[in-house]
Amino acid sequence: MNSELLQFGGSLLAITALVALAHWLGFSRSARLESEEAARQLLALAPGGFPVAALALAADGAGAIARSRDGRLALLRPHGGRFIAQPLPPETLLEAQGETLCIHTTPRIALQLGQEAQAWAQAGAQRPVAAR
Amino acid sequence: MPFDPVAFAIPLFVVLVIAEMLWARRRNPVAYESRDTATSLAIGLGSTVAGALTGGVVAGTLVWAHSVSPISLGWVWWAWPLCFVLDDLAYYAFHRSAHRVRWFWASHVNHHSSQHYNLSTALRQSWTGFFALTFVFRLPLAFAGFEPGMILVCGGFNLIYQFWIHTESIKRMPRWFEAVMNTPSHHRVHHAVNPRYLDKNYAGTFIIWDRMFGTFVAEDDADPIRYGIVSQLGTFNPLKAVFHEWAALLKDLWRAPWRHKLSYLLREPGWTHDGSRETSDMIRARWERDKLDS
Repeated sequence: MNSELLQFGGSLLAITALVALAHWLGFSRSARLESEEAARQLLALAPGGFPVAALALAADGAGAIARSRDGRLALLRPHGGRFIAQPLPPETLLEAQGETLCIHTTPRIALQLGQEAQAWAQAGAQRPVAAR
Repeated sequence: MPFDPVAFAIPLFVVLVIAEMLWARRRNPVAYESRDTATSLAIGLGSTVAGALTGGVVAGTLVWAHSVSPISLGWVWWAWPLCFVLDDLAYYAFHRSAHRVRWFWASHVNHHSSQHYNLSTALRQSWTGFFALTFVFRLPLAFAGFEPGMILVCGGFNLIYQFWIHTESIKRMPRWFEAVMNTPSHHRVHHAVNPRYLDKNYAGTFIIWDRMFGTFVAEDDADPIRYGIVSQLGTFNPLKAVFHEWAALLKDLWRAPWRHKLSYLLREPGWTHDGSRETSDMIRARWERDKLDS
């Protein structure tokens, strides 16, 4: 029993050291989207598929919003060093604050879309009932 | 408990993870993410605890199966390589079931829950394998007369072999090696969510099983691999990674009409009685349709 506890403690110490090393080596940066093409490829892997009709990339590459051919909306949000394609349910509130589009999901996401922010907020509000 | 080679390999795992991190810093900075690594290692540690708690029962079951067998091969030298190869075949059967039967997938999914693919990902081992009864795949070896200790040691070496193939730092091994052995390239395919790669390359040590049973796909450098699961978790919480599919399975079982409940347990992940979700076969078919349309 003692040797097993010792092994557990040693493993815990090793894990802490490895995670600290990973952080120290710079592996704690958030993901950045490099191009629209990269965003399209990620959206194509969303559950159920997501054929992109329109897409807007945040200026800093920290995310993207897209509309499918059938009027659904989806968000690409960073999760650590990768992105998650997240369908936006009909009730999700999209709000333009200047040049930023605020998407009221959990967690709340703010995309710097420039002048496009307003148009995307309106697109969110005007989704057809079937798609919303 | 017999000799456990995995326990002795842990220091080597640590050294190789550090070496891969140093490689990643210079050559592939997106290969690692500190929180993802923390999750992988925490799950790995939890799996050793789960293994310690249940290992005795697994060993006891193998001893029982061996005791009722009319054959006993003993510890003759040639039984070792034979046991290793047959244990790898048993692993292939387990692993294929782990992807095609939702009951087993619920236990195995946490190994695929990382969107990264590095040596720390290899340590995302199951906590619930015993509960899911995955050890039954090794029972035929004991019934066939192999010593239980030999089966467990061969299984341990199989697990150790599979550690080093969880890396992007090795592109391809020599051609003869790629033909026979499981390699980083083959196993990257297995961890991919790209439609062409879903539910392929189940091998543990020898890739020949996939080639024999029609589940082999070679890595295509033109189609960059995205790792993880079809519905990405979006959390670094190790408990969610370990238990989320069990929770989802219970929810589906609760809601399903009686005549479909067993199908939710035994059919492939993504199957629903109302077609509201996609299985990997459906995802691949949709991808192939889209390719033809474009």
